[in-house]
Amino acid sequence: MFIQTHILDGKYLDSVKLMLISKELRKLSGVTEAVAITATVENKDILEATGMLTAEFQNATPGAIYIAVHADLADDAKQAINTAMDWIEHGIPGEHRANSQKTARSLSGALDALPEAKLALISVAGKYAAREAMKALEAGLHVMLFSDNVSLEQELSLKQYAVTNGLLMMGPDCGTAIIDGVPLAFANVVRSGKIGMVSAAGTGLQAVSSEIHNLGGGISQAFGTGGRDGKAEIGGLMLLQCLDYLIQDNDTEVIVLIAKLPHQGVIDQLLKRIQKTTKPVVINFLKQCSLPEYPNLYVTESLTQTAVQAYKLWKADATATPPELKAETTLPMPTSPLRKYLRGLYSGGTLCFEAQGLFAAATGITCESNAPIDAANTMADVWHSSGHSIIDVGADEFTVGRPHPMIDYSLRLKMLEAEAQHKDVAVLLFDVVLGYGAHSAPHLELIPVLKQIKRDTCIVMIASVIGTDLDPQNRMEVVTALRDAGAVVCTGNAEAVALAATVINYVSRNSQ
Amino acid sequence: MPQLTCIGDRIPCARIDAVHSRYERTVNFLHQESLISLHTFSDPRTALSVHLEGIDLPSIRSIERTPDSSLILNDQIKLDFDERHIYPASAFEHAARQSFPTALDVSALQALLLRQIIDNPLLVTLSGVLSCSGIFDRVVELKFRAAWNYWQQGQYLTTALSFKGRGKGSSPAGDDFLCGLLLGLKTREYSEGADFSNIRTVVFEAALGNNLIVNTLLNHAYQGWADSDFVALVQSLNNDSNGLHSAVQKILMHGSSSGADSLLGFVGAWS
Repeated sequence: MFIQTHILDGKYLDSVKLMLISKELRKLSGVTEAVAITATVENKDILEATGMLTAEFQNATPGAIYIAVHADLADDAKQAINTAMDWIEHGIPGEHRANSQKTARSLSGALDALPEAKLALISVAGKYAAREAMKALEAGLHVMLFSDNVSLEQELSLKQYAVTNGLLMMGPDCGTAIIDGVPLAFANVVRSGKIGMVSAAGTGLQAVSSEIHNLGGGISQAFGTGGRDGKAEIGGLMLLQCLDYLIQDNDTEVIVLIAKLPHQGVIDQLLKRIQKTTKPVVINFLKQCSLPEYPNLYVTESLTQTAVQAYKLWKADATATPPELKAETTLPMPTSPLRKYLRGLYSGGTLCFEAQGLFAAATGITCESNAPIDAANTMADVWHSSGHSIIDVGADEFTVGRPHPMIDYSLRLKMLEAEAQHKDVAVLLFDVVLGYGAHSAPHLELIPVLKQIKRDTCIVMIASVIGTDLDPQNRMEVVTALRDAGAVVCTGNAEAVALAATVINYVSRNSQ
Repeated sequence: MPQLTCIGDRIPCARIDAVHSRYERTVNFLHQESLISLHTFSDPRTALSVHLEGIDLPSIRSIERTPDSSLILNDQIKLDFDERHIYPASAFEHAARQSFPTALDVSALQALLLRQIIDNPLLVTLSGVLSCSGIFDRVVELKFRAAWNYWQQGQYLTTALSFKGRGKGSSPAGDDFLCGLLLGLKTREYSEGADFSNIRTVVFEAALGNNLIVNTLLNHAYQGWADSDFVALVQSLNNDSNGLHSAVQKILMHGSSSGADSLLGFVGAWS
């Protein structure tokens, strides 16, 4: 075992960066422990106890930064220190922009540096978001507004301005889009193609675009609108604007429209446009609803169906179920008669919403949720499940103060472990969303916990992996690792929910 | 256009050009062994912090507060402010006194922290259970457990010395915990009419060291100069249980783990 240390004097790094360096160093090959801490006299005995105290520390100026790495090999330890120094100088991969990219401290500065820019992606604190978005619109830029906490009045004002000036105003709270082949924010890497999408449901867009890619299709444009666009107050301004664009777009042959059931007035406006075009339009309102029968209108009930329908419309000779979507045939069942409940823990809000509807349709059972389809099924305490529950771990109550669960798995892991302690849980259902912005190797976080649950319980673990083979993560490696850890892995949420329903129906029958 | 959205109410009427440290979104000016922080898009707003928008922070070399309610940057940029921009540090005292003479009930806060805070060596002070997995964190956790035992035995000086300077962070976790503890004790003084001044002084003086950032934070807590997020927390403990979750979430966003560390110290004051 080797220890390598380095003192950095006269340099101030904030806590977030120090923590991140410690965390990332521990991931390096051969490194068993690493810390980047402020050199204090009091930390000396802690370093001593961990075997990471060196003579160098004795000479450190109080307040200097002390980096220590424990590794199996001397070369690994030295390399880790060099890497840490590089991160301090040039930024940690994934934390900062690459050096070759230009930086700016204001919108005008950014436009000076990149005058040909056409779109601004804005992610600032909510109270500043509307003002920054309006600045961008007034500068003639399309806007993707990642920030939330923007009032409905501000959203309406921004979108009215955008519509009047022929601009896109995606958001607020728009987490994903693919524009001219470029994935923005949380988005998956998909091939370019002839299917255009507009979605007011973020992970809905990710799931469907990924499944279209996995089927062999491609995306022309995928617009996000923000989840409130279909509300009466906003009037579906961006849903309508984007739909108009896709109808006119020569590169789009099939249109997909996803949203939580919009206001009837918005639906009427959408239908008017659909009636006037010959392009096929696939609609998923994430809830059963009655729509008129137009020859070019296809209404689907699951995100997977939406992708398959759009793909089939684009490619008339498409096979119904390509190998990628093949369901697993051997499904384990809980061996304990006490186990009877489903616990869903989702990072994707749309997937959570869809799961509740699909599960109810398949079992007749209504789940409690923190983001319920029906307010009557709101959980009394989001931290304590009872009965059947499907939780959106990406909701505000879980994400304020910590990263989104697509990025940071620690909370969901803790919740999975907690649920596994309950003797009445039969199924754990969860999603793993890949793509830009998401955790770079989620399987490495999940494997130990899944293996432990597999070892200690007879709970059936069912996961859906949302993503493509082109995503930054190795999708097949993720899928294989989760399977090896004992989870049943599906490529779509609908299939995962169907399997979960099968288990619950099975245990219900056997407990009667 | 530069805009001033918050000015601490203890910024002296003086020109200050001694920069102590610069971070990505913060510049700390040094004035009489205390730091005055300039922030952009940064929270929390504290009694000694100035909050600006539209400013190129790295270019700021001096600040000056004038008697006529202006802030001058680099001897050139003049920003006017009015009373609304002054953060009322006394709001904390007001919030904490609301429950007098009834002691505040922090059980809901404790339960929330047990659910919200994970992988934190200081959690042991609340849960009593060791839960960290990394080698360094586990050793720190053991130290903190021992330190907290001293507190429960009434050995306050040893407690402070055992937490002081220990742990990760630019303000080490143990110091943040002590800040929270001092603020919690001050809260109890206001709300219960108790007198913990001896304990607070022992802890404060023992905790002071050569880290100016930490010393400034300790001094704030010792004096009871809470930031707006802690004011909201105390208000929610008093009369707005619905606001508790939101207040806690805001504090958890302080630094990397500073918010969690100080919250654990804060509830520790009731043990």
